[in-house]
Amino acid sequence: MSLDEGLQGFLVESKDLLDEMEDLLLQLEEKRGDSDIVNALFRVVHTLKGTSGMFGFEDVVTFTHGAESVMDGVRDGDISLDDTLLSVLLSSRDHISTLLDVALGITATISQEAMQQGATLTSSLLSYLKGGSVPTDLAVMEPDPVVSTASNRSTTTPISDDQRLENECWHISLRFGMDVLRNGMEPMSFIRYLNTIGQIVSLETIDELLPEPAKMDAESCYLGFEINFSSSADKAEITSVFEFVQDDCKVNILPPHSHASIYLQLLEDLPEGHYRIGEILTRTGILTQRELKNILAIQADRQDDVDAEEGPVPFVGELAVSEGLVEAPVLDAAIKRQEECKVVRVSAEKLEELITLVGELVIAGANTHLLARESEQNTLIDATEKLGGLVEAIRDTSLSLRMVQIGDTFSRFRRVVRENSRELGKEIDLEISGGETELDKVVVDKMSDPLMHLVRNSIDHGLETPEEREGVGKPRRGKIKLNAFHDSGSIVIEIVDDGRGLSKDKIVTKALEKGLIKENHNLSDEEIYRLIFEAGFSTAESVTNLSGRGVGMDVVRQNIDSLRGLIDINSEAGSGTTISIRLPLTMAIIDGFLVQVGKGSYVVPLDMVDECVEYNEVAHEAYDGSQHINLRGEIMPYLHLGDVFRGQGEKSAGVGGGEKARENIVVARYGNKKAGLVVDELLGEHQTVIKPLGRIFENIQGLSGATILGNGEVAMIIDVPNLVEKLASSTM
Amino acid sequence: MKISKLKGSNKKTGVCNLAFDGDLDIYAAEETLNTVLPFFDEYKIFSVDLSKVVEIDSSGIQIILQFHRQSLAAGGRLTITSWSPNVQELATLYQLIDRFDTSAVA
Repeated sequence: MSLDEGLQGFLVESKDLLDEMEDLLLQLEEKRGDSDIVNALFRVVHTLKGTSGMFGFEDVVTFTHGAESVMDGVRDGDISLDDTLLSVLLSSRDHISTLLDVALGITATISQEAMQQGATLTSSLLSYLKGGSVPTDLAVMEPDPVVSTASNRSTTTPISDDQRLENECWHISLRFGMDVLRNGMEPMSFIRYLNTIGQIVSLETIDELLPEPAKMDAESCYLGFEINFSSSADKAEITSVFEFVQDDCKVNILPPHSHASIYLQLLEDLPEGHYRIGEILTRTGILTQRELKNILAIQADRQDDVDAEEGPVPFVGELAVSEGLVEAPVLDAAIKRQEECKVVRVSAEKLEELITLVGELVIAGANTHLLARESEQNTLIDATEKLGGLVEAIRDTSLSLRMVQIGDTFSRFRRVVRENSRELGKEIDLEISGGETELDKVVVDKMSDPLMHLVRNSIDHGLETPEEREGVGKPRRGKIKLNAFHDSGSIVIEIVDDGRGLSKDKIVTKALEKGLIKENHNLSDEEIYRLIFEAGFSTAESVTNLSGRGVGMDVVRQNIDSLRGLIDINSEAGSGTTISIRLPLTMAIIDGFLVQVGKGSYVVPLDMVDECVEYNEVAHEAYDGSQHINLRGEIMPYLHLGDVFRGQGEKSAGVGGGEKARENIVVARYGNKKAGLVVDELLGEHQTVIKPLGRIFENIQGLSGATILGNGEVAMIIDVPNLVEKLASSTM
Repeated sequence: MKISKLKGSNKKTGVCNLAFDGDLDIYAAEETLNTVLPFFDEYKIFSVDLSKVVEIDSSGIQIILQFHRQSLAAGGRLTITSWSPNVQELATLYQLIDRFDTSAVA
């Protein structure tokens, strides 16, 4: 297998495996005896070892093997899993990661320190093994006596041109060693890989070596394959495919048009008996009948002392039976199917390009639809509508390509919580929910660091020590909850702890000290809490390793701001803090609701539109001058979009002179706050490609971007969160 | 791996209908083999439903091959009534489709 191609995949895979290993270890800490987790962990370690082996990373294999053996012992109940072992395994995981970095050339050399650590870990792993009665299959991959007998027979029969065979394909004969599966290799991956450097014209699975069921070891490999392989690759390349099983597997690669004698030698070397192989070779089209006869004739000449079982006599009889066998079967189209993988990794750049193009497609589609409607040709309108539906589907699908579950990011915090809580002598449980919530990969990546800060902050400042907790009548173990869910076009991530809560007094004192607020401030609770996100703010009385350096929280806010997100803090002294981060779901294309105000068009993100009502209908219920409406008993503020955005000189929407056109209220919701936006006309749904505003307009309040309509006009996208927030707070 | 014996199995006729549910891979191989071992002595005509097999690897295919060999040796046969995409994929890769009786697979 060519390293360069394989390595990239290995890099990604090993990283995933290491993450999974860490995750499982941490889960094990909570559910000590869970055999499912133990099994899964064993599997991960086993696979790590196997794949490393495939790439010939001996250091990794050797070290990982120790961990695997210990896990095997745990699985069988020979070794009990205690805290120390968990820590050893966690550190082992880190060490494997270090070793892999070295093996993959990410870090140039292994440091003295790391070597030391590896030795320590190995010896502590071994000490577990000695304690239990774990079979140490460490030492040798016992070569299988049947298949690895090297052939010393030299064939010196002179060969005439007539004996050069017709087969234009390579012939690959494989007999996997008994331990192949146990060593984490999988025959099918090699055969699949062959398909990438050529075509498997035919293949025969050899199961002759399967023993009687009662004598069979389910974890041993008894399989062999005879493959007729068409490829332009050279022998070195084909040989390199099996480089990593060479010691464990008997591989014979015969070039196209090999001499008959070479095939004969193959027949003699293989363990299944000549007849069977001869039959297979003809069946798979590697040899023609004539060639086989020829070979067998040579063999008969040479064989003087054959035992009855394999003598030439049964050959001839059997051959007659197989006389009708056809030559090379055509390549089964089905083979191609396995080339389709289940997961395809695509570079982010290509995805980005796709989404940009889809954006353009949406705009062009809208334009077409508009022109069709103007033309009033019904068939054309129908056609563009169908097209529009498809475009929408393409848009949704391509956007969903970028969506990833946030669960992986959450799981990473298990370790953070585990280690940091130990360091601080606290006992903390981490609860995760909503891990399956999907959001944009870009957002997930950008949220990782801020979340880390917030979780650390909760561990460090939020939660008390067990003694303190008992003192105030709380359970010894503190709790941190990470939760994610969708809510009206946004995703909400919550970090909840049941610690001591934020101390308002401390924050105020500190803020005064730092000059962030004035003595006679008049701040609401929420505004006070938000001060912790100001630059240079930290209330920790002692600076610990974790947090309290006063950097971080303001960076958290900047990161979230850059994602157009909002932070909400709720805290109750003595019973805990909840931090909610609200983020927009996508960054590129949204479903919009198009409205008209005066001559301008505006888009309200559809997810945030609750309902539309006629303005007149509710207007008489409005409180005079207070700009509130009473919508079925619910009081909410409203504003005329026209007042906010209308250009100079443009008067209220008196279309056609005197009579005022009917106005509508769009009820927009963000989080738990609602507000009414009065508009002149409702134009309906519109697929909106968000284009950022130029730098000049960067600071305009209330607009979050622009979009291009089908007719080429520009419509502004209303920044609902901003407007709702402003309205709600100014009138409260 | 869950292996259930379905209706119609009969020691007298040697007919055995089985449904596999779960992973048929190296991690389950030993358990699976131990479960099916007694069947080889008691039955010879096997119908096997593999539609619920999630993971399958070479160790799993060895067990299926074992069914094939044992049934033939006893003068019976192995019919695969249904299989999951993963099983089909591996059987295709190993070109075993013609070796097994898969005419019942839709």
